[in-house]
Amino acid sequence: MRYLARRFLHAVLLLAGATVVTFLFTALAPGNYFDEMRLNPQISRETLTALKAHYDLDKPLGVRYLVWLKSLAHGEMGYSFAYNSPVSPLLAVRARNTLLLTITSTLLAWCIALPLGVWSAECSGRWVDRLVTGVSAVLLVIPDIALALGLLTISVHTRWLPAGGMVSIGSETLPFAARLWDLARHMLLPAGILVLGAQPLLVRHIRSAVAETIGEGFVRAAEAHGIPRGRLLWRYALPAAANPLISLFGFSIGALLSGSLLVEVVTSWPGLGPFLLEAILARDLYVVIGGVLLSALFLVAGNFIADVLLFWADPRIRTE
Amino acid sequence: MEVLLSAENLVKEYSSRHFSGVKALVRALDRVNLAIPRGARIAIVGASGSGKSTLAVCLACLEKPSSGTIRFQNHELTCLSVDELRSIRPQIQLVFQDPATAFNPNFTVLEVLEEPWILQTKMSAEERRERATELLVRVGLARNILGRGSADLSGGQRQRLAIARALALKPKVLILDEALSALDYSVQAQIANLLLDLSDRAIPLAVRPAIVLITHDLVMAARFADEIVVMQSGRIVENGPVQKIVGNPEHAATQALLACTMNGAPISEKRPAV
Repeated sequence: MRYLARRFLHAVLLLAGATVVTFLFTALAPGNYFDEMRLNPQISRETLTALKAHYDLDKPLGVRYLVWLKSLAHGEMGYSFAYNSPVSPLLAVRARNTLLLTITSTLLAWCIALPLGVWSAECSGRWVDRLVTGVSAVLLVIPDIALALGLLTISVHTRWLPAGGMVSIGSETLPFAARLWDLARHMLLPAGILVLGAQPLLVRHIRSAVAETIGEGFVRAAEAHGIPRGRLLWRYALPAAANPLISLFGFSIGALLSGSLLVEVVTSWPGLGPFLLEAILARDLYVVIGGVLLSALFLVAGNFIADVLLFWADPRIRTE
Repeated sequence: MEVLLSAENLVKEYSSRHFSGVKALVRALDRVNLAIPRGARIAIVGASGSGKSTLAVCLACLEKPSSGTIRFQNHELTCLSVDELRSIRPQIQLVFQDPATAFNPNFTVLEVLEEPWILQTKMSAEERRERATELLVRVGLARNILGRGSADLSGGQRQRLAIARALALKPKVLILDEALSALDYSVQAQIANLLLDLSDRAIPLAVRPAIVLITHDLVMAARFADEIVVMQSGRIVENGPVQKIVGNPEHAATQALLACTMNGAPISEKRPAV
C-alpha cells in the first residue's frame, strides 16, 4: 500500500505543478482577449480598463494565479470572456461529448488490437503476421489528418454516414433506440478514424510484448505439460507481457481528452477540440487553461490507474 | 532394457538471412541417433554450441526437427497431430537452465504445480493441494511455501520447484537442460543428490523416470549418469558407459572436456558432498 500511497502523492504533486506551468505559460503568452477590442472605435479606453479590472487582468501574475486557484476550489475554473460564464459548465458539456467519443474508440481500438497483436505474435514470421505488420506499417505512415480527410471524403461521396456533427437535426423527438442509432451513425466516422489511427501503435506493442514472452521458459514448460495453445497465450503469455501494455493503456486514458482534438475539428464533433481551438484563437485565457488542466488531469489519472493496475497485475512490484 | 525414447537420424537446421539477403543454414543437429531406455540415467555433455539444448527441445517435442524421427514407446512423435502430441507431452518433461524465467510470475507455488492437474485430471482442490505438498516434500522444499509467489523463491528453491513441476504428471522421461549450471556449488550438489534419489535403483522400474542430464560439466555427468553421450558440432561423437568415457576417451572432444575437469575432483565418487 505504501507503493500506491507514494504514487498517489506523486500524482497530486504532478497535478499541482501542472496548474502552475499551465497558468504561467498561457498567461505569459502575448496578447489577450481585450486587445482586439482596442481597434474598435466604439469601445472606449475606460471601458477596456474597467473590463480588464473586472476580470483581474490588471493584477500581478501571482495574484491572478491565486484568484484562479480560489475559483478552481469553487469548481468554476475561472471565467470565460467570450461566453461570459464560468468555465467549468462550458467545459463539462464538451468534455462529456469528447469522452463519449474517445472512450468508445479506445475500447474498440483495444478490443481489435489485443486479439490481432496476440495472433500476430503467435504466427510470427508467417503470412498472417506479415499481413498485420504490413497493414500496421501503412497505417503508421498515413498522418491522422490525411486519414480523417480520406474517410470524410468517402463518407461524403457515398453518403453512407453523416459527414459531421453528433446528432441529426430534430433527433431529440425520436424514440430512445432511434436516437441511439442516430448517435452511433454520427460517431462511426470519428471513432473509425481514431481506431484506425491507434491500431499500428497498439498492435505493434502487443505483438512484440507477447512474442517476447512466448519464448520464455515458463511458457515452454507449460507447453511441455500439454497445456492447450489458447490457454498458453491468454493465461500465460499475455499476463506476463502485460506490464508495458498496462503502461500503454494508462497512456490511452491520458489521451482521452486530448487525443481526438484534430478529428473533432475535422468531423465537427462538438467536443473539446473545436471549443479549445476557438478559445485559443480568441485568447479566451481561462478556457484554454481549463482545457489544458483537464487534459493534464486525465494524463495524471491515466498514469495513476496504470500504476494501480501494475501493482495488481505484477506480484514482483508488490514484493518490492 | 526396453527403449522408451529414441531419436533416429535427427537433423535440425535453423535458417537466418544476412543483410545482403543471402540465406544461411545452421545445422544444430546432424544425424543424431540416441536411445533412452526405461529408468536410465544418461548424461549428454559437450561444449557450448554443440547442440545439446537443441536435442533436448527436440526430444521434448518443443521444436520440430528438420528431418529424422523421434519415437516414444510405439508412437512416432514427428508424425503426430498437435492434439495427439498434447496427450503424450506430459510423459516427457524438460527442466530449463534459467530458474528465473521458469515460472509464470503471476502464479503461486500451488498454482504452478496444480495447473496441469486442473486441465488433465479430475482431482478435487483438496487432492491437488495434498499432492502438491507431497511433491514439495519429495524435492526437499518446505510445505509452507505453497501459498508463496513463485517469484519470491531463491534460485535453488526455484530449480527444485521446476523439478517438482516436471514430476507432477509422473513423466517417464525427465530431461534437465543445464538445469544445474546457474546454481552455486552447494545447491548443485543438493539437486544432483535429489536426481540420484529420484532415479534410485530401489524404485520399481515401472515408476522410475529415465533422467537425461544435459551439462557441460563432465565431473557432474560422471557422478550422476550410467552412460555418457558426448556431442560436438551437432553430432554425437562418442558415447558409452561412464568408465569407458572417463577412463579411455577416444574422441578429441571428450579428451578436451576431460582436460577441463583436471581440478583434482574425484569423478568416481557418486554422491557429491553438500
